[in-house]
Amino acid sequence: MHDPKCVAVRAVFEGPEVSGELLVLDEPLSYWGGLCPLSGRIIDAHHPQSGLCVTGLLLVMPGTRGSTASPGALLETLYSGYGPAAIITPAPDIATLLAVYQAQCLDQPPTPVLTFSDQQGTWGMDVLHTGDRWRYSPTTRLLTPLDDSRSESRQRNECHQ
Amino acid sequence: MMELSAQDRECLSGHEGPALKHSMSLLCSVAAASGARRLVDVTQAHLVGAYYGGKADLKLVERIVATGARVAVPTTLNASSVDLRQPERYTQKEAEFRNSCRIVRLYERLGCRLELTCAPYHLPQQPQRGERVAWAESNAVVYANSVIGARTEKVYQYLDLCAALTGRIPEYGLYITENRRAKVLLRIADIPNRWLSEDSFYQLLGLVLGKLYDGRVIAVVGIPVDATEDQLRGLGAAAACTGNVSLFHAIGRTPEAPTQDAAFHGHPPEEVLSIDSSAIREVRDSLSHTTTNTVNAVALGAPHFSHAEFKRLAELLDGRRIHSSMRCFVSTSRHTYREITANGVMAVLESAGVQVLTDTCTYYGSLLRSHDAAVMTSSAKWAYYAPGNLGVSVRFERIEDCVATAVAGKLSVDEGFWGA
Repeated sequence: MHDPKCVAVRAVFEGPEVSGELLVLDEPLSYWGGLCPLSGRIIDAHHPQSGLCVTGLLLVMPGTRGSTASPGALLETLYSGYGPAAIITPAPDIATLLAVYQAQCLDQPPTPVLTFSDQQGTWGMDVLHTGDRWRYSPTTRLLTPLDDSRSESRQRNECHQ
Repeated sequence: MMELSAQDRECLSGHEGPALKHSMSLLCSVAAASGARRLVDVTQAHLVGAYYGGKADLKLVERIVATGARVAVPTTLNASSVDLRQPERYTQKEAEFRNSCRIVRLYERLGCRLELTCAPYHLPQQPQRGERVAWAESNAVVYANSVIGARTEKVYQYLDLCAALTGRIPEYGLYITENRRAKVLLRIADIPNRWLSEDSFYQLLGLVLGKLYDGRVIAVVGIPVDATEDQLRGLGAAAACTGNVSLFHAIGRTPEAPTQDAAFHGHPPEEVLSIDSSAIREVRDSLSHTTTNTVNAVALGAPHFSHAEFKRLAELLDGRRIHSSMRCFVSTSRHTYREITANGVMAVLESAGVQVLTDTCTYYGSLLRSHDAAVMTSSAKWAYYAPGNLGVSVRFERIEDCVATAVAGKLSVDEGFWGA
């Protein structure tokens, strides 16, 4: 069956190999009104992870919600350099796709947007935990954990302004 | 494999210019991601990008305008970050106004109509039942699908512009009949009768519905057949805040749900949920996260105030003035503004000290930013977004209580209304 140590994905938007710490959101996020483009911080007061910063992380979330202006807010976040390194959702997320597509049109480096492969199903969410360090490979289409696993800064979720 | 029309392929090849090539390519990417088999026509578009979002967005739209592209279908704009008609009254930052003007002018040059509203359903060219449109703005999407019975997905920013420029949209989600079928039945029980004619009850119900939403369309049973369009839109707007809701049915009230059987397309519900008055009280408490009893502003009209809401506001004021220590703002569309100016309601509100803004929402911009006291609102959407956007604390109350507070100059709320 599946190797529990890796998660099969497909690219909704192609991007390079990235590795880093995971931030797994418990609830969907509205980028507009939910993510500050000038800090990468979650500012939706109603979100359980409000206050955490997504910059440079592999952002795993159930999906997006709320405002249709979300692509613009994520685009600004990517353009100002505070975006996540990759975005992973159980089903293809259109708002995310639109933002990264436009960011690339504005000559920004591509941000991989990933979803679990059909074979993988949604159980991928169960093995991805905030603070663990993982790598995405565009050649194998796999997410794999890094050996050094947990980052020391995981509890702090420092936001570099 | 996706079917493309000859015209779609022309666009994709670049023969129709770079903007259409870019648009068609993005439409195809979204179609692929969403599993759409083809693109279909839309009759109109409503774009969400008319407020200043930042440098990246401005640059992107400037590039499209520079190609000389024009929209292919009638296109309106969502609210801007400032009141472009009355900048001297309602804009505090010069740069904010300048940037907002720039982005709106760019959309005008693409051929968009200068109606800047989150309530396009109040405009004269309301779509018909079954008509396919490409509307952004979450509350307008729920309204179009649920209250009018038109068809639109929640067309995100940039996808909306692609649809406007090409007149095409991937056939996915709520453009497909099967996906409009209700799967979850939500019963509302043990609700005091007085709540059922109260606008804010429907918004609270919407917040609960949004939280319950798991991707399957919900049909509500128990909504009175005489629930108003404003009440249904309040329900939808609130549901779109807490969940990704783009369509709900109210059995016996909304166009695709004359009966339970019609709402469920002849199938039995996959799940039956039930909520009572305690769920409504709970969500009401969660929305007003302030301990301060000091209120010095009232913000109304998110989504944009309707003609009926203005009339009610004038009735509730009943000749009284807004207290000198209070500010009372109402946001609306230019269209509704023209209507209430023509029939004299505006003059009544103005003499009462009510300040009416068009084109924008007070949860954008700097008008109500960094207040020491709380802002009271009768809009669940405003209450939901303003704390994050503006850093203000909020009290969500009924319009009666908003008016009583605005007139008294201090907190004046009938808590008994929400009691047992």
